[in-house]
Amino acid sequence: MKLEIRDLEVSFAGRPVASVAELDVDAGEIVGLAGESGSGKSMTILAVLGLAGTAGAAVTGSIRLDGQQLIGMSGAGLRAIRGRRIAAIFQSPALAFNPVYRVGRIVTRTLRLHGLSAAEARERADAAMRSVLLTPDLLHRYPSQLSGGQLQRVAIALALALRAEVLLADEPTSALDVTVQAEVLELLRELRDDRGMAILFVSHDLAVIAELCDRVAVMRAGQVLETGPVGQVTVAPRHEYTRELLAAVPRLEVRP
Amino acid sequence: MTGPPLTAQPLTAQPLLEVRDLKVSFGPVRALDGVSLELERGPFGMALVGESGSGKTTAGRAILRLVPAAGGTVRFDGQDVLALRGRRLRDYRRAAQIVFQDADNSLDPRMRIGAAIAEVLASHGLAPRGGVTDRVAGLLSEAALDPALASRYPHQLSGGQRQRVAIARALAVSPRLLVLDEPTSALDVTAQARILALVRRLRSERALTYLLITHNLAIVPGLCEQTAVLYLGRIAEAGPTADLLARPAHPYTLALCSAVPEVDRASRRSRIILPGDTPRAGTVPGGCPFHPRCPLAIDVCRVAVPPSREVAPGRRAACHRAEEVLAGLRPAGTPAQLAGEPGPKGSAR
Repeated sequence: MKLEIRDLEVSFAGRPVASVAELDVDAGEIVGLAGESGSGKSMTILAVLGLAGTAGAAVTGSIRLDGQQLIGMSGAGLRAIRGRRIAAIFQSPALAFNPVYRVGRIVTRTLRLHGLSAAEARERADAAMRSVLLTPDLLHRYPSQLSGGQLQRVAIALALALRAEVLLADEPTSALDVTVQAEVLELLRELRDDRGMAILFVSHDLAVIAELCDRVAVMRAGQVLETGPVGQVTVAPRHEYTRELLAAVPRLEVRP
Repeated sequence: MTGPPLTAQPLTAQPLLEVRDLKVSFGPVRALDGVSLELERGPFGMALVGESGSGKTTAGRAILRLVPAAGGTVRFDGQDVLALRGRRLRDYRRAAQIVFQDADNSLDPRMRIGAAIAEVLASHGLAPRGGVTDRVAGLLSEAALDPALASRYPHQLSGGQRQRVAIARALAVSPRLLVLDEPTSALDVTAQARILALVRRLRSERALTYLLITHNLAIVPGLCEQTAVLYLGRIAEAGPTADLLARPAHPYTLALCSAVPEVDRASRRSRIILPGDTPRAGTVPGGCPFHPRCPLAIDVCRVAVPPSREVAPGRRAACHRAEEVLAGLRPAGTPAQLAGEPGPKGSAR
């Protein structure tokens, strides 16, 4: 198993905000984490990145990457894994890029921090841009000169350039137009199918999860209410709350 | 959304809002290039749908005189809105209200909720002597909020609650026209569903006329009788919502419909991925503005701008192949192109 979470508990001042008894993400698989704001899904992501502690939370339990325990790992050990083997993309790509640097500088600097030479970094950045269907010329622009969809794809390109094995995606399409969302979802499918990436995809929208994910865990108020294959959970939900989430999804109803 | 089916009403003598050939320019950029819309007297909903950069927000603001129009006419209840000044403009501002996408930015963080609503009443001279608190409580209840929230600050409320406050504040002056600019895009689907249910209730209780601006076609059925799809400042197609969604006449509408994520496999339309992002209004390509991204473009589309014309009863579309699309023409595959790469006619930025 690529990513294995067991008995994870994230708490602030003794109050648990996210409890995940069991959640696995295998290579070549997209697992959805569904729930509303405050359900604990983003805290789970931060815990996997080893950043929940930085936010002031206490983290107990087990998070393993290829069997290697991440909880309690040294800062240097985590830094070698975070970004390099476990990459993350967030809801607002505009906040993920320093506005005063050109996009390319942010990308190549990150690659160099992970040990690549300047020439290698440039080459990998260009190749990664092409794989997310962006022209490498965009690397010369500032973040404000790219659209939200383009920036999100650059963020994904960075994960590709680092050859990340796990991608944590926290509401990566919630701020995008539905048309651009469709493109980003297609790109994530390619990462799963062609590169065997393990993707943990967080969203409040069960329709997006139904279209993209293989399995899903539904969270509310810090607890996982139900897990299962996406087809099963969305067609025959066992929990009342899952039914509510499904009922909230807007539908076109009519079809040509 | 589920809800009672909305049927198009018979045309009354005079629409509440009549927009003709509206144009807005920002310097050399033509953000809105000849938009025409008719909104009937309420209860009536019109959806204005398009991607970022399509001009939908600009259209809403120009109608409310929040940005200056460069051409065209806007008539509200027979009055020439673009010529209004002084007192009459103030009256119009009261009759036509707006709810913005982001209630975080539209509510003063240092003002309690009750004060924010009372301020609107006071500035329009509508504050009943000694009765402001009751009036504010009534408005909060109408927006399905606990009147006790009046003493809270915006940051103490959830995003959905803040958006309800924005709606309550807009309703405070008893508007006849409401512009809802992406009212649910910043919300979870569950909070979105509650806001949409609120709008549906208010439309009948208050006989509201509203313009719902959104990028997500899925929230339109059940709320809007009519839908207009905007692309690069022009209306790609318009018509009764149910008919338009069931049988799009424009390839752009096909793509917007196909982009809506669906829970049920059976409901999923074959996805049409549009290559590239919406070009900015400053670089409108020659010919049909949509042709660089259109999977059905043919030679004529590259040279001739398609006029907006009636393609079926009640249906307008600006597409050379509208009849074929109506008859069921669908794209075979998706053209591949790197986004951000300069196209032959400067289609990308």
